[in-house]
Amino acid sequence: MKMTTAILLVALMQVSARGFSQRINLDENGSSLKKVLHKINKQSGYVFFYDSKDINANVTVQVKDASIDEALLETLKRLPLQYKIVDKTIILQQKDNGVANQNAQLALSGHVVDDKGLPLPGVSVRIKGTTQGTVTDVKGDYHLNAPDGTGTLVFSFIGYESQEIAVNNNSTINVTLKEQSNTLKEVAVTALGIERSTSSLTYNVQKVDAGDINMQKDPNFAADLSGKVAGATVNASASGAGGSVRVVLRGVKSITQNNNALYVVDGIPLQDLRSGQPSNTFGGGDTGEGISSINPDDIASISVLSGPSAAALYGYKGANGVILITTKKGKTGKTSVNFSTNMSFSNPFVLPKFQNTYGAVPAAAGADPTFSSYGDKLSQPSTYRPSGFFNTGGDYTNSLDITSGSEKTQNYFSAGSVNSTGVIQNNKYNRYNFTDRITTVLIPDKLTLDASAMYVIEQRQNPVVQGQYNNPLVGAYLFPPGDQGLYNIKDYARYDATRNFDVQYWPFGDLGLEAQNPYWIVNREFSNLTRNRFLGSVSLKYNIANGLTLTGRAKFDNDNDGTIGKDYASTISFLAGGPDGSYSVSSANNKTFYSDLLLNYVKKLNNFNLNVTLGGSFEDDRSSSLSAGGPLDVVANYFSLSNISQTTIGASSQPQTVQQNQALFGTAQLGYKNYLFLDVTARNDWNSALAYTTNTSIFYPSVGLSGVISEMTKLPDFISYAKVRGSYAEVGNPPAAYLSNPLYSLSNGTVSTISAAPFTTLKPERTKSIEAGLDMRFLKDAINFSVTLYDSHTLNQIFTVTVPPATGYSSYYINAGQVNNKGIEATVGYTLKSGGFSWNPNVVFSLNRNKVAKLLKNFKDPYTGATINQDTLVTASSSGYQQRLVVGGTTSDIYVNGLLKNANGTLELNSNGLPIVSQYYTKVGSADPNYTVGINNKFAYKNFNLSFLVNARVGGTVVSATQALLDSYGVSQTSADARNAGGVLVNGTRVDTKSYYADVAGTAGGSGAALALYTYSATNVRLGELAFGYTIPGSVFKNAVKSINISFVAKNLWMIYNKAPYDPESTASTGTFYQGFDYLNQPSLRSIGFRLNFSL
Amino acid sequence: MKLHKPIYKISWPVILLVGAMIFLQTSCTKNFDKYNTNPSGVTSNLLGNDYVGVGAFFPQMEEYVVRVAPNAGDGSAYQVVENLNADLFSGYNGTPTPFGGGQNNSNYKLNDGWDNSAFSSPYNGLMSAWFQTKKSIATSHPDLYAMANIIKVMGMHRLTDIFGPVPYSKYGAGGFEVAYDSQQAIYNSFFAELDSAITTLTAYVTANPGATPAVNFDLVYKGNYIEWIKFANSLKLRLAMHIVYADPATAQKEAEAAINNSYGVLTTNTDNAFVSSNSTVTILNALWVINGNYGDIRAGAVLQSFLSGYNDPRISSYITTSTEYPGQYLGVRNGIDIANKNDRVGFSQLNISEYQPVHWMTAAEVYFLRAEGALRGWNMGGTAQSFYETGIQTSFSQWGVSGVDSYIADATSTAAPYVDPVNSVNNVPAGSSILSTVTIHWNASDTFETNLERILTQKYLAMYPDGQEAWTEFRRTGYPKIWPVVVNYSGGTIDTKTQIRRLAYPSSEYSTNNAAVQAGVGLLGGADVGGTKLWWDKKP
Repeated sequence: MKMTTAILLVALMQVSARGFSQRINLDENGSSLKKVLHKINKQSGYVFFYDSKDINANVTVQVKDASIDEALLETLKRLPLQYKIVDKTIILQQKDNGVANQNAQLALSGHVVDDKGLPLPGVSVRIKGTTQGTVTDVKGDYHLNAPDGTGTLVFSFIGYESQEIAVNNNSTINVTLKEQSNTLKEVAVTALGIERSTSSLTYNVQKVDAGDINMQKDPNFAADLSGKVAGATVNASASGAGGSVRVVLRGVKSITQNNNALYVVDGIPLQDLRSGQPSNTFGGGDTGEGISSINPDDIASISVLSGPSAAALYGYKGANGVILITTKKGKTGKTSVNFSTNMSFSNPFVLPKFQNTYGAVPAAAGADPTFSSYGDKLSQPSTYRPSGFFNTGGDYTNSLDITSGSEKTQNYFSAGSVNSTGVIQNNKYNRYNFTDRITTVLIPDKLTLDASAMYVIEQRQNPVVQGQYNNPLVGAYLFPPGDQGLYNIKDYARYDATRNFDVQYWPFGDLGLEAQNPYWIVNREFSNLTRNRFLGSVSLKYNIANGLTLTGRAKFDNDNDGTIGKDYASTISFLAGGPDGSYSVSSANNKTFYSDLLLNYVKKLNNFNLNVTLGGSFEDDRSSSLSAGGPLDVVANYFSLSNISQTTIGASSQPQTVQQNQALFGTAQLGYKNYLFLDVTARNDWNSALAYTTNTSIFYPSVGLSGVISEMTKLPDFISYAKVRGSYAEVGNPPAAYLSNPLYSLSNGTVSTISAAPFTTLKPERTKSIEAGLDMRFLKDAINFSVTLYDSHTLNQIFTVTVPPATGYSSYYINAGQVNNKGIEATVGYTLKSGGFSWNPNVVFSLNRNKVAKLLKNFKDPYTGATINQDTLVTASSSGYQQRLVVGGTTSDIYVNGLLKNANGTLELNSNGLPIVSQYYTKVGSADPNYTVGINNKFAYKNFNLSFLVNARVGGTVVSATQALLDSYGVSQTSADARNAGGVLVNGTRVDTKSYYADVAGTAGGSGAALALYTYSATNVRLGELAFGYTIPGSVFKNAVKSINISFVAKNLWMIYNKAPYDPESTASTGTFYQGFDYLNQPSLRSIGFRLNFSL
Repeated sequence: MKLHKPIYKISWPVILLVGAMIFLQTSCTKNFDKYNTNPSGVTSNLLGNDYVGVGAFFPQMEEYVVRVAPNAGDGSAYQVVENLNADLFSGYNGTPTPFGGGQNNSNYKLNDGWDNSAFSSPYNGLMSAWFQTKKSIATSHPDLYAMANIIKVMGMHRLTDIFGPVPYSKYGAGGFEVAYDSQQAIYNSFFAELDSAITTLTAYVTANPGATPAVNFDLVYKGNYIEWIKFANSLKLRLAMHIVYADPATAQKEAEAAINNSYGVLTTNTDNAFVSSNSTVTILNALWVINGNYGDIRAGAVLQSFLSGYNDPRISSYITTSTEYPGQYLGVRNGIDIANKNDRVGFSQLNISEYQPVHWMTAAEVYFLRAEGALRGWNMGGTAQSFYETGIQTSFSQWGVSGVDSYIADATSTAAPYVDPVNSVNNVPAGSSILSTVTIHWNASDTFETNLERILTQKYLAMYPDGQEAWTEFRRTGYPKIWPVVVNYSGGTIDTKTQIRRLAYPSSEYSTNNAAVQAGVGLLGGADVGGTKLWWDKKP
């Protein structure tokens, strides 16, 4: 049966669109039946369904101007075949014994659709226990004569779960077939878009249900990967709507290179486009990344290739694992329209705890009011709440897609919009997506074309920053409780007679934090970013011969970004550069051209299956930008480049980068009896960044072996499937562009020397990885289990070491060091179906152990020949907080200052009886989790569905300099509790709260603070996602629509466990370092909303 | 074999394709050198055009001696390298900003990050440019190399005067560690290098009268080598005076040699060494950025007390009246507790313009150096009094200020008492022991120390705004009377009364150059703290 349906599909593709005549001419002498049928198809337009084993015959037939019936009768006259015509479909079957057919008493008919409501042609419909049956036509309809009204119909189709339905005297039986998820024939999309049977994979490939991703509708869908992919650490940026997401697969591998997963859309790598990430406490935000441009509704499926073995064919960009996205394409059949709309509201999820019982320290006579909340206890608690600063955010998402197609050409069109407003006033994100994808057969049986185009407009306003510059949270959080009626700061701009316009009202000074009126910041400092991005791709596939195909693909991704920054006059001069405001514009262009050519050969020889792909790829990445701006010069608040002094207008930098990679690769897979598979890949890259070094080419191999035990030998009945797999891979990673060829820079007439020493012996970094896994299914596939163990070593790390400035350089690039990652990724799932009820729990487990194995060990100094050993490297540093790599530690180790202790363990005290903050950094932990667990549960009962995701992260450390700042200003609940208790206990004695925090909580950014006191466990458990929906079947609307689904969706609904004063999963930087640190980050969000989906 | 035949046939186009790709590969990678050349960078080849490379690094060298502002919004380099240490310690400036929560360099809680900037800036900017210049032109253009050496000594003496022993002779050897030199060795090297430069330039100007090969890139003297010779002599005189209590014989020898050189020292204001814009480079004065845009710096209370007390006509050229206390000159005292920037941001600002040339050395300073030499009985070509008075006159004319005669004749005015309207604990009342009582008018019958104080006090007023040199001279002589800090957060490492003597080595040296810095501390001869005296700091 399987074979039948497979061939039926092939037959479908043979349909030609040429004009048809109803008159058929045949003149065949001993031709193969297949050829004759093909001729009939061409002349008549009728489609044939047949079982290939039935048509291994030769026929002789001559007809002229015959009708279809005449032609068929003549063709089949000597064969044991009968035919049936249903609409334009001709079904060939073995002749029945002639009994059942003649005794037919009941005419059955019906319509078969898939779970998306699309008609399924070619589904076998048969009466159980007999050979009698038929198949559905292109519209999914079938007609069948049954002997009586008692039998059972069996519906089966490859890739779908079979269904049996009792006839029960019904004459119409409509069926929805569910796609099979757990079959031996399951196909996974692997590197370069090659589809493979999952059984044959020698490495871990995880599928993510696109439906799960689409339900929650985060503007950047990558945020919704959290808890759904084993081996992935997902942290969303704390920068508001449309921010980037840090997705690290199997741990941080490279010290200086990107560690985020590569996104590949329809087989072609996507630009990262991640903006510069914050790296200090002053400020800096995130402005999104390449993947956030994608409309999640265009995604058909996602596969995650978490390890280098899977990604080896992507070359260096795949060293960190690949997230493969397959987008939707048109389908043959009736035009279908899908419309969905989401509306959700958000508010801060985790905020620090503020006190409202102590007021500000009164100002000295004549002096300005102070901002320290270490004043007297208020007669009644203040009504000021920092949380009141936040608005309710909103996300409105609309998405429309139209799918249509004939047998020859299919089209998919979609349009989507996202309109988000952040919880901070004037933070906005809009995105408009337009996608069209066309797939067409150019030469039947030979050449197919797949072309798509996507246009995206993204607009970001005031991406929220962390740190203290231009951050409204500084003022909002530190504003003293108590009677400040005099200072109604919401009235942020007031008339100033000396300047003759409204200026910032903020009588508190900059607090040493460059603080400003928070309402001024959000209303009078603007940053607007616009991204216009076009992605076009073309893929041509040519069937050279049976089993041999040639595919050529090309993709162009052109991104234009424009940024305008405006600070109104009286914005603090330190930040605006002057008293009259500032203005800046910049434009950037990033483009990638990618093309490849793949030759694929598939051959079956007795028990062996061979699948070989050879290919080459060419990739060219270019970016350039221009910027100009500065403080306004002559007319305040006139935002124009003409209003900026020509000596300060900037434009001194015009960064451009070019990096080109060319590769040749090959992969071969040999299968034996469909249960033993050997997989070999090899790739060679030539990368332009290696120019001026001694070796410009990188070669890397991979090899893997997998065996399906359950097919090899008889296993106990409860094991329905068992597979073991193992693989080894190497991936190279060239240095960043220009590293090997440092040049002088010229700015303002001054030529600058080179500060980092050039090393022409730079080698590519290399990751060597080994993985082994086990995939099992139990109890007739009701339980599935998959586990992968991996161990990777990344060698020849390219990093910078700071050297004494008197060496002649401030830093050297070094090719040394090694980072190891080993871990476990596992998933367990269960499917329960009973009546109309189904339950599908799924647990995703990730554990990674990261280790800095070596930095500089016996490194030969190229100048002096001396042997250098260095076991520490500072990778992120801001006041009081550092991330350091120390041999034996992890890449995410956090170092902060603590309090000095005596030998007996008590605190060392200064002359005022206060603890002493150590000037030396000590390790307090790693920002990495020990392990993470995502528990997803899906329930369905009749038309109701409920799903929820519990995310748990265990282990790891975070530091909150925000809390330290709140303590030092006396606005935290902690500081009020301490005052209520009569002070803070130090060595058993209570000391004055204000003095204590002045001593240990430091100042801006944790400077001078004992941040060890502000170190928290990052362990947290949350109800990450919840969705509850009801589907109104189309029948309710007399099938005017297919279905309508209404869902309630919620994200971050409930923080079940968390001891940190912020959400430890949100991060300031989605780069590699500056992790586990909170300094005035925007809080992560809880969102609640509704989703409405129409299918027409 | 039969089986393979169809594959073989079909493979031909494939083989051609793959072959074509390999061909393309090898031909396309030829462009990789071009692709991996940053179009935003300048190659050595391009620097060969018009021989630009010959002097290409002089602007960087000169901009790093005293840091200039790279643009109107960025004075941060000067701020942390020069302003938030010497400019405060000298009393020229005070800061209204509670950096570090009010505990920072100003009240002796030394900021390691600032120390690191002060330490590494001269290496990263000045020395690297000098080294690049040396490598490319030391033999081909000995005259330019001589000029580069003068600039190097000018910049590096400021560094050693902040820290003491520093890496000097071993600069540029690469490697991972660089040894420190003792301050005495560094000073000896300074004298030798200046002598050598003077000899080379003298020979050059003799052989090529009127030639100015550095005219296009020298931001100080536009390539006028005779001025460079005068400047080198004057610098030698300054350095000689620095070591007068540590090595009086060398001091006298070098000072007299400087004066006796045929081209002599700076004598008129046209000789002054200032860094200023030329046709390609725009020099912005970082003090203007820090004072204006940042609002992080105000007039120092000590400076204002002298200017006010002496009724000094230069006061309006140096500082403005307070915006908060109109009509009043009001400086910010250094070393106080500051709660809120708003408290003192309205005090007197610096009267400085965006493009005010950056101060290196003036003729006025040289006259005061000669006055001190004469006072010490050295052959300076004149009397202490004549040089003292010429020094004041030269300073007045430098600022275009009148009234010098009555100023010189004033025998009664002394520094004014100080009242901090925000917090009286910072007041310096009349009669306070820390308030200077020295008068202006020269009185030969006064003691050596009084006249020394008189010279140093007037030099202090004439050298403004060179905070680095003012702090050095205060440490060397104890004059003028700079008020001690009111609060001291040094944790006992800096004595309030003797005040700060140096900056501590930055932690970066301990992490990257540990053995060398430890040896450097040994050469220092005391703990690596702000209270330890430098080698030349030997006045009994």
